Amino acid sequence: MLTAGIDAGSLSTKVVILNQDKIMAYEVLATGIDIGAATKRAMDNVLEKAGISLQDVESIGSTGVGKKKVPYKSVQGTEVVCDTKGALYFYPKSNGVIDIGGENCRAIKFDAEGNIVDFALNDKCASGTGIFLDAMAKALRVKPEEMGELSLQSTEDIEVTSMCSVFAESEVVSMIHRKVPKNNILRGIHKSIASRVVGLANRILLEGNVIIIGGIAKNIGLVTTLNELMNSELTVPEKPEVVGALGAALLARERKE
Amino acid sequence: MATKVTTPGKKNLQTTLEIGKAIRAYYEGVKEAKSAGKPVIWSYGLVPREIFHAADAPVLYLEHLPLMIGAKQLSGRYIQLAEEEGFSRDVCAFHRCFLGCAVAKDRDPYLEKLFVSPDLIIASNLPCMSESKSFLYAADHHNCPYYFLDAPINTWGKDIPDYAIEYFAGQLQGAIDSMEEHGFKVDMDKLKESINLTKKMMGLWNEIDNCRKTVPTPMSTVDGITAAYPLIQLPGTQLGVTLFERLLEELKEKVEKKQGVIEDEKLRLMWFGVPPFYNMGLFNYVEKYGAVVVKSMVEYIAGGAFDPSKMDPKKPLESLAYKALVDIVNPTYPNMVDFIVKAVEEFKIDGLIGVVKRSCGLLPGYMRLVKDAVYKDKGIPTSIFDLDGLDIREYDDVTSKANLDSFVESLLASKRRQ
Ligand code: SF4
Repeated sequence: MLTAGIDAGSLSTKVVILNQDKIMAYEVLATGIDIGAATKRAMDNVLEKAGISLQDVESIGSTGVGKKKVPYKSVQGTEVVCDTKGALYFYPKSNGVIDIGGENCRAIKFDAEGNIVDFALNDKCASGTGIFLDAMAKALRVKPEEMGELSLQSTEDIEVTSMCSVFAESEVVSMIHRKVPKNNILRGIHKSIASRVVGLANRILLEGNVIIIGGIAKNIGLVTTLNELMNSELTVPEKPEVVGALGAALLARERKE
Repeated sequence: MATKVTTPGKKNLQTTLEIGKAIRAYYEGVKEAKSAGKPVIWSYGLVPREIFHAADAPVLYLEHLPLMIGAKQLSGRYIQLAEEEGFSRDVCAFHRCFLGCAVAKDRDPYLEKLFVSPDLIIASNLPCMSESKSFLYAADHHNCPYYFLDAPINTWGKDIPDYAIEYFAGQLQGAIDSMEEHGFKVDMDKLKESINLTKKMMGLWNEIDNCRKTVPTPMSTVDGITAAYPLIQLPGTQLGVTLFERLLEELKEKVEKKQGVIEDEKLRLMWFGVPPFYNMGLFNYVEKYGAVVVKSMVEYIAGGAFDPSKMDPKKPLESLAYKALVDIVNPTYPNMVDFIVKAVEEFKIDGLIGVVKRSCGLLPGYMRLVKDAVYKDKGIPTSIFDLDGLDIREYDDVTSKANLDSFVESLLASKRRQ
């Protein structure tokens, strides 16, 4: 059975095509201002990559903040449910997920049967999310994808204490003026985000085999810092940014069956 | 035109609409009394209302006024005014709201209909200490006398010792003396009679609760919160008894016909923390999943947690002392936690929703304890998230709904698997 999963996120849109249990193709692109258009583009691209047409897809699942705006008839699932399904697909022995997305961060704890035991979502504050890292990258004039590696080259532990991203930016700018080396500032920024994420995970007493997903899971600096601070074995799956979309495809398949 | 994300709650019962009318009539009565030259009292929280009814005193209850303002989406404006007056955002939003109302020079027409200035303020540390200072400020602003009822903090557990009852009864006598000093006459026979009426009301409220425990529930907390109003302002009155009798009758009929709030009740939820008064429709939001919020903790804070047989008209002040001190918000952890665990079982709750109001110094502290106890004893999960039920400026519709969606979906998924 061919199913598709869409994760319409605030910053990026992800689509996955699943053939039975196998990922046939996936696509990730920036959402922009029109969620419907972004989803359509991502779907067209992924169908082309998989060499199939929309009619071949038997069922579609959707998740993410924009799930209600996707221009396809789909089975909708919350991010918590879809992340769990996607995580168990990659690591059947996992018992938790940390998902760090553009504007959201969530920690989920589940049992071996996939029952969600507890979860915590970040509040409306953006610190501890991707958009916070982007703002810091701009302030430091580094590419977001280089931040992680650079932070690992730090020589001194410094603290970024502001929890609010606006104030954190002023704090970072003042460090730049004081000529604090960029690598050290970056390490401080990663520690600040990681401590917010760990706080969320601790709220639900998350430990054990935890996988970390979302685009930010590709940031080696953040994952390293999280590993230092958490009481868990963190694993990054091969395609961390599409786990939610994959979960949506699994949800669609489950409902169809 | 701006799109509103908040909606009023959808009520299902005829009697709660009537209670709504009684609320409006009450405020009109206070306003008329003031215009006729009668002095008015301001009070708050768990100060026993029976002493005011026994003096025929018009009273403005300052925990109720903010929620009326909140329901009209006006709370933000008055909270802001209090902040401009110098009150920090960390002060309880209820207090900031009534302080904003108290100091406002320009009141919008809705508040104008409800607002009267005080001639005497009677405050208490039940449910929390914030009152002592907020009310002092209000008393100073309105240049009126102020009496503070000191309630002993529950360090004893379930059985209230005689010394605590005696102490609080003495404090109540002090409040009565202060009222008499300032132009009110407390009729002790009327007070004794009001103890009987309170006893009756509590018996009826317990029966109302029993109806709500049935599956499907005939009454959600949208009606429940309005229905708790007589507990707040009308204890010890015949009107309170009559309204509860009618409500019970209506519920019994629904139970008999197996008429639930929603057609296919799949999940029963309980709300812990301050309800979103400016957006009561949030309770109805979960109904699309077949979920119903059966009960909320605030209904208990209104005074619905005690044994009516303890009401003795021969000992009116002691009875009222018992009623106030036994309340679950008296700051002792085990009582509140045990109470909620028991309610979760009796109301057959599938999930608990706990909302944290950052400016509250009391309730958020309970959340973790309640969450752990309810899970350990009953295997029932709790979702906790930030939501200030009064300060509309703090409300985040997307995050609140994302939390509710995720929680309800995960509960449904677990049910499907069972
Ligand atoms: S208990 Fe909390 S919400 Fe109630 S008055 Fe005190 S601080 Fe405010």
